Amino acid sequence: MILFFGLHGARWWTLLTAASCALLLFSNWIYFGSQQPRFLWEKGELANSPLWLAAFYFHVIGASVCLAAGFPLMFPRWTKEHPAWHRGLGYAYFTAVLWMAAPSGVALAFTAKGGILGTLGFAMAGALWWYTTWTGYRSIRRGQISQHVRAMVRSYSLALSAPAFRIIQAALFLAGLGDATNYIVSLWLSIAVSVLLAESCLYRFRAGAIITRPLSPIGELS
Amino acid sequence: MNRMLIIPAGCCLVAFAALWASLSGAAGKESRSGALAAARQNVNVAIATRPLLSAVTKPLALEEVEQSLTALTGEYLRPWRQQASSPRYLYSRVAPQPIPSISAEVELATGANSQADGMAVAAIVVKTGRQSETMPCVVDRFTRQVRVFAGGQWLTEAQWLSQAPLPN
Repeated sequence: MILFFGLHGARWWTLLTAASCALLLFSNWIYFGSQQPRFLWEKGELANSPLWLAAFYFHVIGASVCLAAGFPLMFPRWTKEHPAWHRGLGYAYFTAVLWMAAPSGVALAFTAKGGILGTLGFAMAGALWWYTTWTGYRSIRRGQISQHVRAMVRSYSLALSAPAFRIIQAALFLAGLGDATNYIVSLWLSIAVSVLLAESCLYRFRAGAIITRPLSPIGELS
Repeated sequence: MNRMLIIPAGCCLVAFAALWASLSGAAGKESRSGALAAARQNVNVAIATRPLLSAVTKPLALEEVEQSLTALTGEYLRPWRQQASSPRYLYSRVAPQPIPSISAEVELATGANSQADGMAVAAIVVKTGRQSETMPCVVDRFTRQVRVFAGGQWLTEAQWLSQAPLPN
């Protein structure tokens, strides 16, 4: 996976990422298949608001689609062998992030747990996510592949902050950290880890050296 | 922006509006049917044997909580009232020890601080003659579970109903 190129144990990190994404997607399915999602229970009266609920479901569906669709896009060899799939899944990822998960995430940030710190964290993550994804789309439309790769590495890394948040939260829970503090610390740590992961990847490859040969022509790509 | 992004954007907008509309419609139907259900007359022991985790996703409104507690309290008083109005005890009204009347009131805590996290707090005041007993209770607005504090311990609905008073 491109995010872990050059790192020791890159395959294990890739497997861990795949497993955590799969676990998150599976837990969403179980969670919303049950009839009493605890997260909604904790939201109290807010969970009665149709607008809030619609934004919430939109966010979960969009984020699930982008995690699933974006994963294969992070493998350059697969991209080279299946350029049409890359393009199709890419558009699915763009749609899921730009029009579903990120805008609803920013909207939901204003009712997030953790007060102002929670709101700031989620709003900032959502806004960064939208911006990096939009930059990725704009650059590929212009045929600027290296900029596209840089932006999408950052975008998917921010998408991975969701499973990272849950892993860190579980770890801090086991370490005995209180619920309220755990939530805020996990949120900001997950954003920091995502940003670090992306920037370290780009630094390792000194942006532009990731794709050494151009992709085969597909429409506007050359 | 090409149509490969514009068309999905439009579809997402339509999908969001449809989702919002369907959730709004579902919320409207629930408030109407909730008022009808809460006005039901006969509460039987089935309440006590209802599964602990009901299949609900919408919390009870405070009015529904109050009506539910009122019905439960009526069930709690029923044994006393049945025996008090039975022919056997009718004669005791002219006896030296008449049976005191029994009544109950439900007082729901309605302040913002007292209703949190899907739980409703209330007090059931049972008046037997000149004596009154106040029993705090907590209602889970999602699962409709009720816990009553009586006799120094928290009781489920079934346990509380099994301790319903009877005339001596």
